Amino acid sequence: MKKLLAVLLSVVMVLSLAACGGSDDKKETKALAAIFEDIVNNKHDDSSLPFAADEGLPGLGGAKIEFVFGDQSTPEIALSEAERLITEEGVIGICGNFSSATTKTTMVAAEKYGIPVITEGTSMSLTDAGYEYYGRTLPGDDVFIDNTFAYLDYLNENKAADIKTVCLISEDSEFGANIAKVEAETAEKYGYEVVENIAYNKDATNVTSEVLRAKQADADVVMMSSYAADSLLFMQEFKTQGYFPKMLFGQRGGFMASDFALNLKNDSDYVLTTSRWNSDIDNDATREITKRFSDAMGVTLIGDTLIAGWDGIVLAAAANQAGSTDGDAIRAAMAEGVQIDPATDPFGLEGYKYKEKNGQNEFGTAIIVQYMDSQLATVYPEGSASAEVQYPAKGWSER
Amino acid sequence: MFLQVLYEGLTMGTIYALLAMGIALVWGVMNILSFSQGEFMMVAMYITFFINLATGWDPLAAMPIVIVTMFLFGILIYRTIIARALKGPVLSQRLVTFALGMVLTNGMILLAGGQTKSVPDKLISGTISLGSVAISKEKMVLVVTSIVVTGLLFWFMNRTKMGKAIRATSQDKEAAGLVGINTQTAYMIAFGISAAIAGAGGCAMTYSYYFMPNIGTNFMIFGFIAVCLGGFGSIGGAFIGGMIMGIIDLFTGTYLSVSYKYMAVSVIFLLIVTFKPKGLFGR
Repeated sequence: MKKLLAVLLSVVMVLSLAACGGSDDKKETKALAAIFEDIVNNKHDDSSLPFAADEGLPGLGGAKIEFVFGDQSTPEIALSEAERLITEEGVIGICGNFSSATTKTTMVAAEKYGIPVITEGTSMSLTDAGYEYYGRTLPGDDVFIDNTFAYLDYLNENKAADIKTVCLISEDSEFGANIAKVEAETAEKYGYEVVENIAYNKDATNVTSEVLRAKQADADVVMMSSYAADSLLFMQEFKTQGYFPKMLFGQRGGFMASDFALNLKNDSDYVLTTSRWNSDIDNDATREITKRFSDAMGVTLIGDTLIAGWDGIVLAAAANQAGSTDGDAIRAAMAEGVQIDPATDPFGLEGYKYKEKNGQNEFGTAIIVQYMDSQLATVYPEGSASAEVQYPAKGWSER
Repeated sequence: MFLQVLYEGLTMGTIYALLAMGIALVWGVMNILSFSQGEFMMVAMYITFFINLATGWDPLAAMPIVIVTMFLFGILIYRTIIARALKGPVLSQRLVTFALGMVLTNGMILLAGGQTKSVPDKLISGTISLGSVAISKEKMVLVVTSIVVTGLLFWFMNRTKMGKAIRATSQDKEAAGLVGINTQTAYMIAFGISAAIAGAGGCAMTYSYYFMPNIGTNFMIFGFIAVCLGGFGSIGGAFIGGMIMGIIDLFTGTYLSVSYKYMAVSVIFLLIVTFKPKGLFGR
């Protein structure tokens, strides 16, 4: 019972940068894991987080949890690390900051040894793969994108936004290609015209021609799927070319990375993105975890970091509910629905029931956030919103 | 739109040209493929960043320091690694800079972290409108730097004693040695100059690029293609090769499809290699 959970993330930075960002991201994930370990393993009468009133997991005789760390900087490394964590460290579940590609190789080991995995790669190929031990708490691309277009409808109906045309810009990786495909299909379903669909090279050294094409298309909304470096490159080029659409909508990735506002400062303003969570969501658990994290790290907690640790808490809760550390028992508890007191849930989800056929949590929902004064503010759904959306965006010369 | 694309293509070309000239110099003089040229540029960007962080100096003010630092860094690399590799088998000579590039990238990750960096509040910023063409002042820094560096390099190679010694060494090492030229010094200075060119380029690039330790890798391949287009060993050819690449990149991406822009560059490269194997200006 010593090592209950494994969080896979890159700690061997000399190998690659590819999969999960820089070393600061790893420090942040480790800091969050330490907070959750402390909350679960020790008694905290004043806390709003899960298992705070107990010392350890009550369903497992007060067992303590421990996050063990591995490297997932490439799909190949993720596979070998998953094998190591399962066979040598004896972990009972895997969670962390995975991409869809590294999740797939990790699942090879997880399926072989019958170890549950909960990660948040958004590709639909993960839920279509027929994995037995896979779980995803928050939505996949299909739901994120559907929510995006539903939001455009909401703006047209309630704010007279007059949005009709969309320009899609996505990198030519699995991440970007999947999103672009679903965006094009969903745009058609909702009746929006895609006036330009740009798939740029993910190793591009410049995006000038991409931006010139987008500028020429002059769509009402530019929707983008890019990782951190590219999202910054595009923002720089948008400014250079004096172009900013009425609405610039990112699909997480680089637009949610801490690097984005850190480097752009107020140039990040008006950018919207779908998100899993935001620190301004109004509940006690959010306030507490945000404060604890900020006190420990001196930076604002972001949704991608929180969910990496939170999925570990869900695995622990499933084991606690099952009264067993057996992989099949934990997976059965996930399918039955993991009981987490909504008052202790920073995500405020209605439930945690992972479908047997594809592992998707039936209750996973997205929010929409916008950069305002270089900070993210929740603008949709209305019940969670802390600010009114700023639309249309001001052009560069008007700011 | 046409003029805008042309301007942007030339701007992009200057980056490729700065990379390509360093590669062409090292290859032309000592037959070493400088796979680490992109990483030298990355190191220069970080030096600029750290100078800005410590002193608040603008990249333009820091540029002389960065160039000198990179020149000395190049000399250090030459004396400790390249000079020894030149005594080894050809394969080691070819791959030594590749390994060096990986060390520099991962070393920078350890030193500065993997997060994206930028230099804030630059001295020159904004856009000049010339009719339908918007000229970015930040990008102009790159263009001017490239032109000045190219001019200085030509002057140095053609007008100075050391430049002539480097050229003589590149043409015939043994004959150069016989007439009293210290060929090892010529090699060392050439490698140092190559790193200094990357220093100027990297410093200027902080004006228009956010950067992280692996930024050099993506640029590298385009630097090599520019050298092949212009001709290995020809510094002027490398400059023109870079410009051609930038223009093809922008025109194909804007008027045809962004998906084809690198394919178009590669097709032109294949055509030139097929019909003019030594490149446009190769010897």
